[in-house]
Amino acid sequence: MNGAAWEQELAAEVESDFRKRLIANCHSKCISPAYFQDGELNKGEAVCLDRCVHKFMATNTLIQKTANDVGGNMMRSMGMEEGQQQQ
Amino acid sequence: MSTNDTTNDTQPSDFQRGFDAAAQGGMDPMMAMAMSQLTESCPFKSVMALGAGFALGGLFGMFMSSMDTTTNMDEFTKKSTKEQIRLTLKDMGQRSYSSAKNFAVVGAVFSGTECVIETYRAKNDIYNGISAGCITGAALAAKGGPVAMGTGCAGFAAFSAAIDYYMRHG
Repeated sequence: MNGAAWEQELAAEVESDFRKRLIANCHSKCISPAYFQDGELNKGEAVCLDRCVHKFMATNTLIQKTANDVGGNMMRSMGMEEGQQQQ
Repeated sequence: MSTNDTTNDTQPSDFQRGFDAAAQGGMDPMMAMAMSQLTESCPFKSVMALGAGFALGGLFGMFMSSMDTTTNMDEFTKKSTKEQIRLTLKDMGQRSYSSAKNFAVVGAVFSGTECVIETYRAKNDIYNGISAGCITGAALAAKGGPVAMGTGCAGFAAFSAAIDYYMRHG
């Protein structure tokens, strides 16, 4: 019971951290403070943000997949099924 | 990495405020985003510049037609007043229409090219306007050969650079 609640909280924390990093990264890369002339996003910035978010998500997915594969291989080579905790 | 700073939890978040504002405005936020995506798209901007260029060119041509071009004054004064007015209006209409078409094409090409370049570069700075000006100037002078194209490019690019610089830093 406790484990499930803790897992949920961890998942929420990871999600929130992901979002924070995404916003901070793409804001610093795409929005240049030199041109703060009005509050609307102009075309260049909007396009840049679209691409930045897409790349961030794609990178994240790719690394997750690779990490899972590598982790799975490691577990299999140690003779364990996936999902088992190490004793 | 997690922060336990909850000092601003009592204030509504930016997202909440924006959402409320959109909800009160009566437009569904997805619809508002779709609308803004449409109005910021390159073809739409190009068409808007076409319309604005047409209007501005019409006014410009109307003012310029007041400068006397090729009216034969003796023959002109002999005609009846109604005829004179009719001829003057016809001349004004012709000049303003031709000027409107010219300005509309220039505006559409410049705006469309600038939008495409900005989309490609994903940056918003002065070089978009300069490149678009060069392309527009060269395209307008295409009939005159390479030297005319080069001059047109340089001239229009300089003009665009001056206007953009004034608008950004003036």
